[in-house]
Parts: sequence; structure tokens; C-alpha cells
Amino acid sequence: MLPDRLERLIELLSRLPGVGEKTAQRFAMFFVTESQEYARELGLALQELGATVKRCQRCGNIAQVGEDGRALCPVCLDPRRDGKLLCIVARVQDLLAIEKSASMRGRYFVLGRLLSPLDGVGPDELPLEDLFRIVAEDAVKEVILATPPSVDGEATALLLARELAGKGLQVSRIASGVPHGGDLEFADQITLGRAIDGRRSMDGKRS
Amino acid sequence: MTALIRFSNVTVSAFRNLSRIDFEPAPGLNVISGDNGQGKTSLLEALYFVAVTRSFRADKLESLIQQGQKFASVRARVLDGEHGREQRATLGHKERAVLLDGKKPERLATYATRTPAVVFHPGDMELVNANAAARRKLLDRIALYLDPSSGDARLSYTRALKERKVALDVRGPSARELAPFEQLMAEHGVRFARARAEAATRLLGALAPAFQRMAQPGLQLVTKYRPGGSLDVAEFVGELSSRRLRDSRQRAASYGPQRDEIQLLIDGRSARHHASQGQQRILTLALKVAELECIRDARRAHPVLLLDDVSSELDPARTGAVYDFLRETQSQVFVTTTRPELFPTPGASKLERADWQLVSGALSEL
Repeated sequence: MLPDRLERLIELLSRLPGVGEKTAQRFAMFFVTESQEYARELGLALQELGATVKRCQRCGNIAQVGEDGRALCPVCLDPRRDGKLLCIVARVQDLLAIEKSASMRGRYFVLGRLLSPLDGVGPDELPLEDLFRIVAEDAVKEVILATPPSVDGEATALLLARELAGKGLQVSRIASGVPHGGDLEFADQITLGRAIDGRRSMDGKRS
Repeated sequence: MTALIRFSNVTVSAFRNLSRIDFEPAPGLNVISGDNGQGKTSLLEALYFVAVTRSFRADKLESLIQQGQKFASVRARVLDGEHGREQRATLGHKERAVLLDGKKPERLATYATRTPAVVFHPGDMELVNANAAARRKLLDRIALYLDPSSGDARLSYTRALKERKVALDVRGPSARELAPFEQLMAEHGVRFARARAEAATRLLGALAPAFQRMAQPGLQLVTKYRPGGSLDVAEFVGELSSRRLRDSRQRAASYGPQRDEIQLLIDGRSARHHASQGQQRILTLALKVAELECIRDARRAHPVLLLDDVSSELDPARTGAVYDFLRETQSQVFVTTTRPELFPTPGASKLERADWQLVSGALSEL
């Protein structure tokens, strides 16, 4: 019933995360009936995207391509960042979340995937060579494993800890526990159990 | 103090063949009668679903959604001792959503243990006459009340178990990704095996007297809980890594709580293989009574009791045992039957009992 081109557009839009067929159809109709100007602008922006924005060639974060054609993200370009401290995350979204917390003064490495034989990801499918190269090039001293607290995330952290052992690094795993600003009374028992398991000693000095 | 739990108002929408039912059950006994195929079991299933977000007969929850509909949903007003709350469980083709007083609870386990419910249905016979999987599920239902995190620990364990299996299948016993998953199997496995062991101790403790009350005098029941793994993480990891070759050949993990077993022996012989039908039924009933008592004591509340066509499964003498139990219980009870006259409630006031009739998915009070 709809023109082929429009059907194709709807199909493309419905592949976006969180967009179903109905929403995709609404979007497509909007471009056709409401604002062709907006459609042109959006098309141009999408077209230019590939040439101007890439994954950071060092850490995998989102980066703007520089005039020299190199793609380096703001974190990797920032000279004030401590290159001796490396935080390993699964996804760019995780990196952005940690950046928002402003608690990380080192650099990152984005794995892009987690260890999961079920999903066809073994150690050889993880970017370990890139990771080791960066560890060597930047003379990294400390690694923080910030993969998610799921089975695959924990397994990835355990694997990385083993693979990085013997390189003279300090390796730590992010803690999991009670959210800030809440009463313990209302914390769910699983989170509370983890917080107790992962408690730390208080010797009067702040680490 | 053990709180009384009561459904006071229930609305069922697009749930199996029940398009819409809105009713106010009696606080005591609710007898739901109707011919076969009218939706009696579905109504019990709807009550079970809003209470614990599961089904007692469907492996795929999706089958609960009425044909041609997008969502099945059940809403219930629940009285819990002095307090009241509203629970709503909705099931779509891809997701399940629950609301507690209009708010999304932080975890499904928080919701699923709030209103305890125990169901007796004909399929429960598998607790005695089938393999250990059904008995492990029974332990897990109790364990969830003893340690709400045991459900998550079990899911994580199962995930790690599958990851290890695929790694063994695809890359063999020397794959370097095995160690991380074995470590996680041990950590999560110990956590949920501990809750299971506690559940087993309680269940078997309650089973002995329940069986004695109901069975013919002289029958001797011996029970044994045989854990398939260890409660020590280091030992667990050691066992897993030393069994890689064997597990890879057998294509299954030979160690861990997926091999937990409850053995039931009547007069020294396996109840599964050697007991009579009548003995198996009594043992099943005793297991359910024990489940009810364990959940009651762990949750400090009388679980809602759902009995699906239970009289058809028992001989007259044993049916008497069920009625004695019903007379004494403080639980709110829903029974389905094709023969309502079988359920006399001597001494019960009108307030305590309600009789309902279900015809082609429509409920009316008699």
C-alpha cells in the first residue's frame, strides 16, 4: 500500500533500539507530511556521521575525527589524565556513566563485548591484544575492572585479572553495594548482601 | 505472630479463557464449581500468578495470554494482617511486569514473596513419581522465602553452568575461559545450595509428622537430602576443575546443586518406583502440607491455599484427611470441584464461605 521507498525507510527506522514498527511508521510519516526540510537535515547529519565521528582508536570511546584523520576521544586527548590508571568497561555507555560521576582520573578501555561462550564470545574474541598494547605503551600501573555485575561481566573480570596477572599491575574490581542517600532498611536483600560481602576495613585513614 | 493473608478483591483480564472476572472472595473457604473446561483451573492459575508471578502448569508463561490479546493481567487487593495492598501482575508476549501499590518493586523476588500462595493440583504427583527436578523446584520455592536472593543466585548459577558447558563442548577441557565460569558456579552455587539445604532440612522436618497424620498407621517413611555439590567455594572449584574431562565426555556437569536429590523411601523402598498409587498420593499431599507449613513459618503468614480438583485424586479415606486439614487451616482457601457437595464446612458462618459457579469463563456467586 505504501511506496517501496517508504516501506524501506520504515524498516530501517524500526531497527533502531526502542523503536517498534508503529513508531517507525510515525517517524516516516512525519518526514513525508510534516517536515521535508528536517528530513534533509537529518539525512545529511547521518551521512556525515561516518566520516566525522568514529570509535576512538585507542580506547574505543566515541571520538571526533581530527584534521590529521586520527580518531582520538576527549579523554585520551586530555593531558591531565593519568595514563598509569586504566579503567576497563564493557560498553561506551558505561564509560559515559563513570565520566559523569567525575571520580575517574585515569583513562579507559572499552571491551565492546563480554566473555560468553553461549553467545560465541571466547577469550580470542575479546580485544586482549589491544589492551596489552595499551598497558605496555602507557606503562599502566593500575587497572580497575568495571564490567557489569552479571555472570558474563564477572567472568570477563576474572579472565582479565588472570590475563593481566604477572605484568606487575595492581588490579581491582569495582565494588557493588547500597545506593547513596537511602536507608539500609529499604535496600533489597541482594544488594545488601553484596554490600556486606564486599565490606572494607576502616582503619581511620581514607583511601 | 502469623499474619492472615486474604485476597479481598480480584480482577482477571484476558487470562487464558477468562476474558474478564471481577470478584470479592470470602475470607475463608471459596468453593468454585463448574463442569470441566469452564476455566476453574485458569482462575486458580490467575490467583497464583498475581501472587507469585508464575504458573503451576504452564512452562511457557506466554500461553496464559488469551488468544488474540496482547496482555493478560490480574489485579488483586490483598489484606495482610492489619495492612492492605494492591498487587498487579501483567504479562505480555515478551515481558512480565508487576506493580506493588502502583509502584514497580526493585526486584521480582520482592514482589513474588509478598503474598505467599501454595497450590495443590493433580500434576503435583510428579513430586513423588518423577525424577528429582520437581522436588528441587519445591525446595527452591521454599528457599525463596528463607533467602530472597537465592532465586537470583540460582539464575546466575545456571547461566555460569551453561557457559561452562558450551566452553567445554566447543573448546575442550583446557579452555582458559573455564576457570572464570567455574569460580562463578562455585560462588553462586554455594549461595543457593545453602538456601536449598536449609529448605530441605525444614521440609523434611515437617514432612514426617504430616505423613504420619495422613497415612495408614505402620507405614515407615525415611527421607534423605543428598546435595550434589559443596557448601565450600574452594572445594566446589576444585571438584569442577578436576571433572572437566569427564564432564566434557558426558556433556553434563557431574557436580553441583543441579544434582541435588531428595530420596523418599516407604518401608525401605523407593517411593517413586515401589509405592502404591494410594501411598504416592498421600506422600504428595504430605509434601504439600509440609511446603505450606515451611512457607508459613518462613514468611510468618498463612499462605493462600489453592486446591485444584483435589478430591478426584484421592480415595474417600484420604479425602477425609484433606477435609480435616481444611477445617483446621487458617489460610484463605480456593477449591475447584465438579462436585461442590463434597465440601461441607460445618460451623462456618456465611461470611467465611462463598460458593461460586464458573460457566464458560463467567463467574457468578451461588
